[in-house]
Amino acid sequence: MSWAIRCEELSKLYKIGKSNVTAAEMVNEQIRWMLGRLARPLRKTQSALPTPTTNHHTILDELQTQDAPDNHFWSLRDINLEVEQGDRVGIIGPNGCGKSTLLKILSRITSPSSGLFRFKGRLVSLLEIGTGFHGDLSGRENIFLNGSIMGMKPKEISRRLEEIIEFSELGELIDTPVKRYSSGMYVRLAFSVAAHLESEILIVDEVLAVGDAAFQRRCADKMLQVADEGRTLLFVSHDMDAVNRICNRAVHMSHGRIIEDSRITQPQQTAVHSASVSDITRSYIRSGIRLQQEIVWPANDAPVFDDCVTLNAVRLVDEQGTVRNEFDVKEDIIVEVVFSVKEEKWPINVHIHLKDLAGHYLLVSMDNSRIDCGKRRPGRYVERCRIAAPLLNAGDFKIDVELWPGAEVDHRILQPSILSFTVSDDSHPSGVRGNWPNAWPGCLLRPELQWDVQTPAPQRSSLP
Amino acid sequence: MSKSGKNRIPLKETVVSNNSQFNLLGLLKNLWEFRLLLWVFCKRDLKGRYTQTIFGLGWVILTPLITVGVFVIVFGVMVKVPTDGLPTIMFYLVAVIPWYAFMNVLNPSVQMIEGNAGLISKVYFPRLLIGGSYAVGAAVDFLIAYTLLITPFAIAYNVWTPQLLLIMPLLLLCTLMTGLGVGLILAPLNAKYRDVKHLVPLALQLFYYSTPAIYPVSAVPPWAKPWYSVNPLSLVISSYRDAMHGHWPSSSTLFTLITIAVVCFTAGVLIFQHFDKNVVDTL
Repeated sequence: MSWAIRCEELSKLYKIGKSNVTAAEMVNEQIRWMLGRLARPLRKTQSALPTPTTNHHTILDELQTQDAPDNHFWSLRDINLEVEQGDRVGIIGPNGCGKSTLLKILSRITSPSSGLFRFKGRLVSLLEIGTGFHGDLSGRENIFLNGSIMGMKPKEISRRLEEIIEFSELGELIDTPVKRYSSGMYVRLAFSVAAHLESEILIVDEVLAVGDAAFQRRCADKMLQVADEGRTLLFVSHDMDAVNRICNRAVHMSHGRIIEDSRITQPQQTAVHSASVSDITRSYIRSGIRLQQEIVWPANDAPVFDDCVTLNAVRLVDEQGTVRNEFDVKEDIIVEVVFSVKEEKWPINVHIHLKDLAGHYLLVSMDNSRIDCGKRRPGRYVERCRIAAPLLNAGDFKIDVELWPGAEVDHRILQPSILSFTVSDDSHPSGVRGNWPNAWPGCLLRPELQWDVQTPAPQRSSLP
Repeated sequence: MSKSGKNRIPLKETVVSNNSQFNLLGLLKNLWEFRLLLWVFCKRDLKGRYTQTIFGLGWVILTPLITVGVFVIVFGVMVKVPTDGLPTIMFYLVAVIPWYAFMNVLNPSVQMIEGNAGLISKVYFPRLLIGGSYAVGAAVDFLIAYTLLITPFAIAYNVWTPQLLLIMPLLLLCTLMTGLGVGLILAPLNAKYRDVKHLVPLALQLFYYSTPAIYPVSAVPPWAKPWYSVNPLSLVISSYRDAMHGHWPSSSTLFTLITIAVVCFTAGVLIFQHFDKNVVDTL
């Protein structure tokens, strides 16, 4: 397969702060930058730059302002990326990491400050809803408007018209002016047009989120189909499930650079190579998360219910009672919840919700399996819930803690994602692993299930 | 080579960089590729302009007609401005209609980047096409007004000459090229400094009064005459008026007109293309 898009040292500078400077300031700035460049060639310092880590919380980091003129930053810095024909590339990264700038440059809406890119064939991009729509024109007329803006001929559009209308499910609304459409209807029309036009490359930014669930699923299927036809897909999303489902390659960006890529194609790429799309989406979800193993609330600022029940502390401890946020897959994890009750009024239940970092619930556990649910007497309670190993796979998890006063009231104390921890795997061949020496597959749970193995009776080992 | 049978024809490769060299051939190719978009834009503008109006396209005629009506009453009947021997209505018609053509291309082109920001910042296409569509729109409006107002009135007042018809295409072309050129120069500037759109109407007002639209050039004092021989709109309007007397425009008039049109248009395209690449960042 040959390449479809190829970026070479693509960079883009943007201005920080007010956009209107006086002419004198502008000239002054340009001169100083040029002098600076003369004194210190731009290319030289770059190789020495370390790759930024993903744990920066600010949108801009100091690497992005290095070697940039005053009041400027590198929104993209030396992007080397080669996308093959028929690839479905998911571009992920936090807000402000340069994803949209990259797509804008690739769509030729703005031009790079340095570097270049090539692409083969026609490129259609869907960057935001209502792209190139005219409110006074009907949906049908807008299909033609939109299609021609994307460089298609009326004949091509006519040929696909029925298909486009059918995919959008707009039905009779197609002859209504689009200014009467809802944002979801806009997206339906826009995506239908973009996906059905005969382009070799399709770029889709985070727009589909506006559509309803059924439509999003159909879009995902359509994108897979698009790639199946040999078209290349570039897809930006914060929906890691969608990226996992749709893409066969993931690129993780941070602070204007590619920091992780599931396929390294160019020798000059500095990104970290990861085995699979799901590895990258997981590491992206993990980036920027600070593990929290303990919270002790001061008496005057604790979560209170009905002036009666107070949540005092939650923590994660190990067998010895040490507070920790890292556990081995073979270790029990104990969730400790401390609360106090002022008067005998409510039948309090403690609930633990275990989630992965993306927020999917793995399980909910309640203490009413062990105690009766009668009204709690005044006093201080300490409850421990043991998550007995082996249960969790290596990975990161979060816990919600809930104090539930019974079904009659709507209120409760709920502390979402209040605790978080990492489970690691020492890869020692024992326990659930058995003698499996390789990486354990990326799933959330890893309980020891019972295997009933029927071996054939030992027979004469005589093969002719 | 490639696996799928569809891609037997080698695909066209496009290279994009920040190379700012002007490439006329590339631009023309690009415009040609998107030529159909020009018509789509024209249709869009036309439809957009006249939806939710009662008179619809009738406004193309009504606007100049009402303006001329006011001029005839104020300047013809009340102030009694001399008209160089032409019927008052004709005197103003050939001034107002070309003036509107000029305005109809200049005003929207100045704001074309700001006004189409939603489109420009989301999709790629040669943005010159937007300006082109304004020029085509202005030309259509002009031709309708010319056919339905200037020609019948000229015949009715017995001042129709072959010259009036034959010089029209050239004069129209010069008007539009000048207007579009100036608009293209100001459009990127307006994208960055919105002061431009406030200044343009003022400048146009000044320009309007220094153009012999409501008075004849013969009424101008001698010291101001040089301006009237380089003001393109003045040349256009005078040429139409002379044509009704049966005169062809002088060669110096034609030379000045064409030179100004070509210079404005070329400068406009060059400047616009230069700023076009990064103009989205200034919006």
